[in-house]
Amino acid sequence: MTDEMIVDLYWQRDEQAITMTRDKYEKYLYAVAYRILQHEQDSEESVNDTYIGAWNTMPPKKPHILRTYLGKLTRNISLKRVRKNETLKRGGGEYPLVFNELSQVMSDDTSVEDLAEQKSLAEYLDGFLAELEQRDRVMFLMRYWYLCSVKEIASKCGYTQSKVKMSLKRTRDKLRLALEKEDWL
Amino acid sequence: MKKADLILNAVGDTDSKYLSEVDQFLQRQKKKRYGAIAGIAAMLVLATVISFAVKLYHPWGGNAHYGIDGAVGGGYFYFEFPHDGIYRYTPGKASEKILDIKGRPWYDFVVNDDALFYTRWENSWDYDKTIYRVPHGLDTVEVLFYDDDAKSVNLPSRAAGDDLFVVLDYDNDTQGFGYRDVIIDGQTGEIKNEVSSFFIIEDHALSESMMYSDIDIDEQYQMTHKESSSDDPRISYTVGDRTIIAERNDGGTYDLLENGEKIYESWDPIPQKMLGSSLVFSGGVTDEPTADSPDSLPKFHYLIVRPDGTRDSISLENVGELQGNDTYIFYIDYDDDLIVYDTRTSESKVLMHREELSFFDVYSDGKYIYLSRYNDESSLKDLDHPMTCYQIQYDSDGKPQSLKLIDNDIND
Repeated sequence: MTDEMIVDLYWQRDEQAITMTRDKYEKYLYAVAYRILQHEQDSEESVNDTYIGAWNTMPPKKPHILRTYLGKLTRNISLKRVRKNETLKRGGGEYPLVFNELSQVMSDDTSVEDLAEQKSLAEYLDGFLAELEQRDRVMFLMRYWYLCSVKEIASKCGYTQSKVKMSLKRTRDKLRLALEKEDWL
Repeated sequence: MKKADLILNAVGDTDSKYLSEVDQFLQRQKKKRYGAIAGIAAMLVLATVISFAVKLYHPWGGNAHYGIDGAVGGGYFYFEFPHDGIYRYTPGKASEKILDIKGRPWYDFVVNDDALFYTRWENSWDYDKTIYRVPHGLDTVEVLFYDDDAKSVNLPSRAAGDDLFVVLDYDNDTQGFGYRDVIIDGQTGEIKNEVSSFFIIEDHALSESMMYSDIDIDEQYQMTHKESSSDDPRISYTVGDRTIIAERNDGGTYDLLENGEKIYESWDPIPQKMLGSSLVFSGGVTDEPTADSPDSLPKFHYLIVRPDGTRDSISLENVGELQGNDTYIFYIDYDDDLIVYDTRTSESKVLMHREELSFFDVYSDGKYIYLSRYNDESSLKDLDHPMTCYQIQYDSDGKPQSLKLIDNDIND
């Protein structure tokens, strides 16, 4: 079943939409969740919450690429879960490392509450990503969207770990400079 | 919300086209590394068999099915055993641990015929400023190189023969923010060549005076930051008694010169690697897949420069790195077979078919071959891959004919 047909089912409020979504994307969504949570039950719950999130947001949303839309839902749900103390105690996977790496891009002198600021930063980041070499952009997203470990990125891309670490570091440094220039810092 | 979480959330809202690009990129890389359907199907089967804790979906395959990071040099095979340490293996003997990984320190290492070189840091955001040297067969650790001004010293990928290609990162008030790519002597640690550099220096005094200026932000930034960059136009290498010079040309590639004569056009001023005593330079890639020919298989071009005065230009459809010596190159092709290629005659031969032993990484010094293979599917204990050691059997004409098993699992 195509993504368009599944999205139509959501719009028709046909519960088959969730069955079809599960059949097509369960493994992918589990993968997204597990990388962040490193816990089987939490990951399953995040995926189930994703189906609920999809049901509640379509309509009015009508995504063209269902896979990435659902992936974003799962990622957000999983990140919220991992930020809870109980989950951190279970090991936290790559989240603590990724958090520390990004803390060097933006320090925590002040806290941020404004969702509009997040949206604005997201738009700015798209422009930043567009300027990167494809290879560097892919590695950046594997690390900070999918929360893959450096070793996994190296293995999947066929690079050495050093090459991956250097690419990530240089991209973070470029991002810090760019955000500084635009007064985000 | 902490600012790091702000960025993390903002990255999560990235345009979907970039996420699709990641999938496509990995598909291409996977096709290059493992061949087409057979490799992908095998990964999926393996992922489902060992999937009670890891249920991951193509094209991501398994998240922990890593090959062993390894390198051959001085008759040894060095490898990292995950969460344990760096080991040294002598064919026919037990592996010995030479570097311990406790509390998750990270190592990067490269190997040449003289020694193992490594850097070490405590976690993914901490960096060391030191390169350590461990001569083959010894347990002594020497400090080869240290740069107090650098924020970090990095070993990106490979030794350049007797020398090392090193990247130095800086972030201080003196040099500013940037990096230097250098070649250092593998014996003395002396910097022999600066390949390229890039720096941004901020004029703090001027920045402060401009803080409330009406000048446009971009213009302010340009006025308060200076950029400088340089590329060393000529880098020289020694191969036996020969001197090869890599000279940057107007097209952005490098002319390889010997005795003033251009012998090759290389995409990289740094040699691809060393095979035996020879240096191998990369001549780029052709026949890459396009929209019109999506199934095209890339061809990689190389120049081998030997100390005996000879050189050969070759083209291979190889997956991953080349391994071998001055004459014979071993690599995995797109059918996932292990190929031996004679660089002097251009003859190639299948040494081992993928069906005989499922492997995906090969290391060799021309005497022994190490194959990283898929784990025993009956074992759920560990997702790492055993490394098998074979001795290459040569015929009376000196041509590789077959492999003799030496050790089924050098980790065991």
